[in-house]
Amino acid sequence: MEFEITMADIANRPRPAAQNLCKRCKVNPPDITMRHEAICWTCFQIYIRTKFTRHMEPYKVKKGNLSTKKLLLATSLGVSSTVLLDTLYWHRSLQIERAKRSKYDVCVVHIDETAVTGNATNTTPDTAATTTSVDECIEKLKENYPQFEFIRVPLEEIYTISGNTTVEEIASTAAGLTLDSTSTSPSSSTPLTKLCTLLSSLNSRASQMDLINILRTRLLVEIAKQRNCEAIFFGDTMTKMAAMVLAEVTKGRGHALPWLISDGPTPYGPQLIIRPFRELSKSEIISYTTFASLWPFSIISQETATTAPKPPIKAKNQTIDEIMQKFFDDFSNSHLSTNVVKTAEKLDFADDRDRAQRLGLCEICGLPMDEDPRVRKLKNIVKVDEKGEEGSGSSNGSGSVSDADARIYCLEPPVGEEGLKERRCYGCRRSTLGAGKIDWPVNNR
Amino acid sequence: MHRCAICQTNRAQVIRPKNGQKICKSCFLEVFELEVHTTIVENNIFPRRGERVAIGASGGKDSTVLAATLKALNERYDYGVEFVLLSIDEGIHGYRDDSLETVKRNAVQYGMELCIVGYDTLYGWTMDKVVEKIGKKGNCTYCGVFRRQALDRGAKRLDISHILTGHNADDIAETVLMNFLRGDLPRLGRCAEIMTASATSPMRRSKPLKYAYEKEIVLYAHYRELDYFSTECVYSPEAFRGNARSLLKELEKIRPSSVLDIVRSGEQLVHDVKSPSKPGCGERNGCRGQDKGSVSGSQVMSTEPATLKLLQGAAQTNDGAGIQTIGVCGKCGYMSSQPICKACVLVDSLNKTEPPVEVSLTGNMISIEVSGGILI
Repeated sequence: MEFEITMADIANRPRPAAQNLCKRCKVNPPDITMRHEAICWTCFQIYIRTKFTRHMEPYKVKKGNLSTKKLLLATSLGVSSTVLLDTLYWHRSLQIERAKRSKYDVCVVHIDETAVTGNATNTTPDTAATTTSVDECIEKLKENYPQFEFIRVPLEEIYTISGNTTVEEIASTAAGLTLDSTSTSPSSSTPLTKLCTLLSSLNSRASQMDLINILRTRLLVEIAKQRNCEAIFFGDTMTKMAAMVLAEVTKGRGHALPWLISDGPTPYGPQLIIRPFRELSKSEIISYTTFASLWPFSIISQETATTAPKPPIKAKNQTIDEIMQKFFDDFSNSHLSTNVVKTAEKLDFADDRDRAQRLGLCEICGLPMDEDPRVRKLKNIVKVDEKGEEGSGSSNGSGSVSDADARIYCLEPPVGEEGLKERRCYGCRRSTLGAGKIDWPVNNR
Repeated sequence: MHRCAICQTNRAQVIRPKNGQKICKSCFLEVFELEVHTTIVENNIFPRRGERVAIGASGGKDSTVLAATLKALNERYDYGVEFVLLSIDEGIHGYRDDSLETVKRNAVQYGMELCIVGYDTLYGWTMDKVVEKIGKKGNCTYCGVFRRQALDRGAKRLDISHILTGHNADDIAETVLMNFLRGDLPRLGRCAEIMTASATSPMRRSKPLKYAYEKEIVLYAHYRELDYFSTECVYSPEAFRGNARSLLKELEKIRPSSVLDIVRSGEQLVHDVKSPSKPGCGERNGCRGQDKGSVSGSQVMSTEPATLKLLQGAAQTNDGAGIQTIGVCGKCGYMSSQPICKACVLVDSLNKTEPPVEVSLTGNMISIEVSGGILI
């Protein structure tokens, strides 16, 4: 009778306290269930900030090093951008509080695309409303985050800004001079009309949005260059990045995936791309926005962000990015985004550098060119079949391959642009299919 | 009246799903066959004259179109190869027995030899019995693993080392998306390859219809009045594939070339996964250290049977090592990278949990014979 209380009895004892307390701090009542864990707002904030801070290692205040860096924060004024802005503000304020100085200054840039997307997005009822709220939103942000610099740059600026940089570079390279003389050939049209002409030559809204995405990134890099910003911060969440990965795969840019999604320098310049929210899901960011009362600082209303998206008015007019985003925003698919992003991150392009040197960069997206998979295969076949006599497939290899590009992938180069394959990657050829000659504003370095 | 965009004479009857081109019936048939021919020539699918090649024939549209086109092309361009139809009898009543009748007719129509390999004779289990046991959920895993080996064994019986399958562009695009969604890096690297000869299979497998749209295959079968069987498998279609499939359909609506574009992206990934350990542009991928692939992988697959996780684990270790070591399955003696091959693992799991009641319930000659044989 010594052991009247058995282990089973202990296990079965009711545990009154633990159930209703935050799983992490065990002090506050839980407010949110995050990754199967009920935690309180304070712990949730710590979680978000920890994930963020992990990416801020190079921007810590260090003793003896008084230099200040400049960072560019790209904002769409959407939810993630706003949370990133707020978190960056917190991080910087903490540095000032603790070290009496900050390691970095922040320039917040919003690329204004309303001039070109305003008429293209067929969600007409609120286009007028959004243009006003962009201004309002920036004003509110300026008030709330007084230590940050805010600028708003129209997308068409890409036609003038990159011209400026090439002017500076003319002295250094002769090649730059010849390229530049063609791109700035006297034309009376304004940057906006040039951009509109470019976009209207494309065959679908999907293609237009694809090129707008490229132009936006390139404009941001140019602005960062101009303002001596060392890095560009994006608010992309895991959910957004999963959509990006599959969207780029769908556009035929599988070959450039690491360049498109990994943090670090780009082929456009030494400016680093940093996505501090790459490990957070969109739903977590939305919860955080509610918790931190950040909704007034975003052009997306709480309603639109939290309710299921309405079916599009014109299904055919959607873009690839929109379809993918919708797919991952769907609750039943959101858990898949981790898989997609982690898998894409693991893709290693062993021949990447070699490819970039051998084939150069795509004149549109500026990323390393892809290699025709059949060309690669043919090379191998020639090697293997050297002893064999039936080299018929390999001897006329190059001719039949270019032919097959049209036949198999239905990518016929426009008349007079036969060499396009060597200058434009598969994805960009697809997006510019049938556009004829285009006036592309940015040159590769 | 729209004139055909190719011949400019006949009335256009077909809008090509690939590029929206409006062409006539005869030009469509010609273009379709020419594309398959281009695929064959450029990928050197038939490197040797006089070779005997198996066509994996299910009686469905893809394999029937494959057999019909190849017969025509072989005659027209003189590949000098001999085709044999190889069918797998999964033992699905109301589906496979009917489709096999189609294959038998096809064999006569195309003058090709036919060989049928059954799951029951190979594994002692028909799919009907597997489903009876494990339910409809996850049965495709068993069927897939069994089929892969059954094809190999059937070909070996025919003394053939090259199997052609009817995978079309839509299938491959779906698989690329699916492998991303389930985080399967090793498979992502090879799913878009036109020809595969893996370490665990002595067979070469090729997909000559890799660039052909499903819609065009249906159209081709329709115009050529091919005799094919169009019923879907009676057991639940893979739910996960269905997800990727509906996504692909939506993408195709806004950009019809999406299917091809995904195939193209997949082809680019082939090259890169092969050499994961080589020093390359490693410094760019800041996040490569935080490898949580295995965790997230199991998250998704948690609804699948435990054996699948086992298989996944095996695949991942292969990925890490980079080299697959070919051995022989300790049970059946078939080629395997593991001590026991996947098919045997699955058969064992079926037999192990087999309650004795089941046997007496099914009660017919074959099942007693079979379970007896394996128990001893």
